[in-house]
Amino acid sequence: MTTVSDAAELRLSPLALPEIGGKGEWAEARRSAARRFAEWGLPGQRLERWKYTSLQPLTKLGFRLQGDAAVEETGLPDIPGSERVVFVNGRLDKRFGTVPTLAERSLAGPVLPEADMALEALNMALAEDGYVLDVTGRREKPLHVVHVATSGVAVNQRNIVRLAPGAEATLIETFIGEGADYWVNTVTDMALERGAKLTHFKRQGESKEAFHTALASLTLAGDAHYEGLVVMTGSRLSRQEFALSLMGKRASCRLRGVSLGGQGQHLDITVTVDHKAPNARSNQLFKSVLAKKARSVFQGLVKVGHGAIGTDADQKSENLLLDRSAEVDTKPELEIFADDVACSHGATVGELDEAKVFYLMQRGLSAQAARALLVEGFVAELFDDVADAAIASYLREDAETAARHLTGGAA
Amino acid sequence: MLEIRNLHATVQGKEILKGLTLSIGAGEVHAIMGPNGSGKSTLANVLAGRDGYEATSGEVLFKGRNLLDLDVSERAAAGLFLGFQYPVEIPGISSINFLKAAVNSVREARGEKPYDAVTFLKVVREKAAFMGMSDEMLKRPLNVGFSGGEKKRHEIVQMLTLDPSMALLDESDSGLDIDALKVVAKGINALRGPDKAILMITHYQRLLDHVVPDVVHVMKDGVILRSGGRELAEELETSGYAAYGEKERAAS
Repeated sequence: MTTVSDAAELRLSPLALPEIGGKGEWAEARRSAARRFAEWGLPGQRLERWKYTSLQPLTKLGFRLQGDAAVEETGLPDIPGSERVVFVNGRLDKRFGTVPTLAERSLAGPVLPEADMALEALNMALAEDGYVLDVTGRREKPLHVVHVATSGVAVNQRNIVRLAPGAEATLIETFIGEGADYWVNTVTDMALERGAKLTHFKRQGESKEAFHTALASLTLAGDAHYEGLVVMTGSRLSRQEFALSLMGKRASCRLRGVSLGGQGQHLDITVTVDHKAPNARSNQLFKSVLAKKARSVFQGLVKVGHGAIGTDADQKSENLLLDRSAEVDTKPELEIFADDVACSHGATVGELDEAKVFYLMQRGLSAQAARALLVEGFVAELFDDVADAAIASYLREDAETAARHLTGGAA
Repeated sequence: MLEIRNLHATVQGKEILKGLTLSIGAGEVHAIMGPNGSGKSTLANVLAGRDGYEATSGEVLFKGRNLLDLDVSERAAAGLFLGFQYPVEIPGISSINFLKAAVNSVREARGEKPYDAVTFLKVVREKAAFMGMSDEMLKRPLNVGFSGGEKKRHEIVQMLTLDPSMALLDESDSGLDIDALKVVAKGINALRGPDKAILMITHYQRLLDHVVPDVVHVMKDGVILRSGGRELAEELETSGYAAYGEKERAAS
């Protein structure tokens, strides 16, 4: 099924895309996506949505499209009570369990809609594999998809999640990697039919020398609910994009996340929630904790279309700077074209309260431990209402480890 | 236990302590009283090592060590506890998790074995019950949503769990009704012992009805003006701080 040669390389400047072979609708769509990407190139900072994040560092590198990875079981995270599958450099590693995949194109259904964003088009052109999660009824066990990447590889993985009417599922994604200068560019299309409920967790714990760009594209029918929580601690440069369309009446979503960055990391979360039907609700809370020249970006756009009466939308961005070298760019935005809506947004940027540090130290905690504990306190609310205790502690521990790093402690 | 000799200290460049000398032996309970602005809280903060409270000259020996050389947590580990006048609220961190981290940090610094989860819970539950605090309150975020009285009781729970050799209690009685005052006093009395020392800082003498001090000091303008026995507090109760230059406002 592979239509891109394993030896192929990807270079962005000057652009060198591999040949995409094969016949049929799919191959044609991929060639078309490749042409679009060639025309558009990487999104530049003149684009409003890319104003704060530069992908320039990617242009200095060349990537292989397939790595020879021998991933060992030890080192792979596992969450009690969840079913785990492992993708290595974008391809399912069947030694660790299986899941339906995009490699069997018939599973993907009709050709995916044309990408309207450059990175999505590149993903479309190059994606060989990805999980296809079709859920009817209630999926008992959470699915934990572990993505592992290795040095020098560009991973373009395309995933599909479809929940039938009334279906319920929990999906956890972990992104980890070894080595340097790899680039994970992933797209996940999620469609929730009437009354479906998806709970989605993502831990982005890539190598600190890696690049991570991800798009979660969602459509929600009436009464559907999406619950998302992302914990971003890895990568040198990362961009997590959410594009949600609330298509049906009373559809709702709750998005939460935290970026914990140090050592010059750049962590971007960009969200678009499009209210297209009456009485839909959206709620966003994104936090960042930054030290040592790290930078976080939050762009949250809530669009309320004509006719989306009774919309209830809230977005909050709360940021904590651990030193003066860190930077936050936060831009919650509202575009409202309907009456009778309740929309709010807010952003805060603060530092650790020295009175609290003093209090904790007076009780015997070292300066580092006191600061780490305050960071944990700052992010704790994100994990408090995660119903599955094993998942909550998996993500919380990741955030706490990052908090210790950022405050100068050992791992 | 604690030897303060000719201590001068500044806050934001302004001298607040102006040559304070005070000696507290093991087994003793002292009280410092004084009008507002006399430097009582500054003394507590300087002794605890808070940023911005700078000792400019003089000497403080704590169990023979130069206290001013230690950072805040080292002083705590050495056995110094400060009960705050205004305990801070910390959302997201439960009292019990915080206290476990604190007590084990202090125990390790003292060369003692950290408590395991079971032992710790047993100890803290016992102290909490003694101070009339429920388990449920300990699970709540640190001091968040606690009333003034609950915060002060919680300070004493922490003190008893950490088991310091010297407690500085900054206005532990302020904002308490009489029942809460009695509970706090019971907690302070529980720490008393031959190898412990306690310094209570208070504006009013009513706490001293319940925790009877061995020595009472009157502080004003950054120095100790007078020291005496319990009767000194009673004298202040009737005459107020008028004799020390403050209008009649102190006697409660």
